[in-house]
Amino acid sequence: MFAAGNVMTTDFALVQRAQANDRAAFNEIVLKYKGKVYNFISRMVASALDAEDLTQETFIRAYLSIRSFQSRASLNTWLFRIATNLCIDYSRKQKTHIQPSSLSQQNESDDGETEREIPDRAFDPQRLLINRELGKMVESALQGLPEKLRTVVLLYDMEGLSYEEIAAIVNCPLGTVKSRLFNARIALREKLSPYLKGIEAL
Amino acid sequence: MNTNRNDNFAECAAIQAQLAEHTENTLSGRQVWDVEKHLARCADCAQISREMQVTISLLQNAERHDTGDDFMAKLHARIDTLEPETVRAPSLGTVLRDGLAALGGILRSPRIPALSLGVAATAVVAFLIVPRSVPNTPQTLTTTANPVTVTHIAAEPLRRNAALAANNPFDDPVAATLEANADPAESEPSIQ
Repeated sequence: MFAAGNVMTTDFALVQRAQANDRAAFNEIVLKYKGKVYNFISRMVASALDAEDLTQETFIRAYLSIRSFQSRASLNTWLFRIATNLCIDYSRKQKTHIQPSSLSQQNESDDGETEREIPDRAFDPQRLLINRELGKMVESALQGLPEKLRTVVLLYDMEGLSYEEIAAIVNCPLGTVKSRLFNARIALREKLSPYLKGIEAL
Repeated sequence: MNTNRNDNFAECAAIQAQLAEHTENTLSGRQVWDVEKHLARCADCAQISREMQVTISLLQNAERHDTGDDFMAKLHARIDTLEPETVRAPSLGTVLRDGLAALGGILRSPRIPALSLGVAATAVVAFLIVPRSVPNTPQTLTTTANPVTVTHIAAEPLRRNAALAANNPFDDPVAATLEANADPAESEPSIQ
């Protein structure tokens, strides 16, 4: 509790300085939160390049509207709200501009071979069997989740936000957040189930 | 038989709905007891419970992604290209808010008596100077009894001093000079 209070105080001081056009204070805010924001966005969008662009856009928007930031909300929540809205916009644009073949959708694997991402982002057990890497299984399972469920499970389980904070970010009731989290975990467990039996012993 | 199966299905569904919270230790003591009692005799739910625990653990311990090394440089480059007006031009609301804040700061300042005195002195000086700047326009001080022409007000102290000097019991020689200099035509204020 004391640590959380300290974080709030530090953030409050940083925001006040940034609101007075203190570029160094804004820099501190970026350094403090860019990892969390990027970690979230990179799992909301498939492309690493787009994820970095959206993270930059999040902080550009924060920079432009820092003076309107009300200290009633936490800086963390505010930044994640901006990031979430950007991801929703991005997702809408992707749906309206489907690009079946794009260089930006290609990833280079460790052995130098270029492999194409799954276009529909659906969970693909065959791909998981080939990779046999725990992280990639989780990533793929996450990518297969509907956007609303993915947002909640990422914010709760990966970023450690509270139900209340997530409700403020996604602008929906607390019960809806809990319900989405439950459904997301059930869906993830079902997708990972064939591979979890071997992991349980770990 | 069917009823028994349906009851089991309903109980399993109720328990599975609490598995995530059970993993997070956010259930009440009674709920924990019910869940663990069920898991002890239901192999399917126990399996689901283990998988749920692993799933949550995988999410919580997943590798964290971070930005590239040049992220900050790129961000600052983008901020620098923003139009200055976009960044600095304050809205009307911001201007008003800042103005009120500044006024509040001034009022709370310990220098307020000195400032007030300065403002009051300026106001008095301005009040005295403004009528003299328009000497050709006679203004009337409207009183209920006697409206008096302003141009005669300046002669009034001279006349009064002369009268006082003339009545000086010590026969001040200045009195005669003052009385001689006083304009007889202006010795009385004109009544309009």
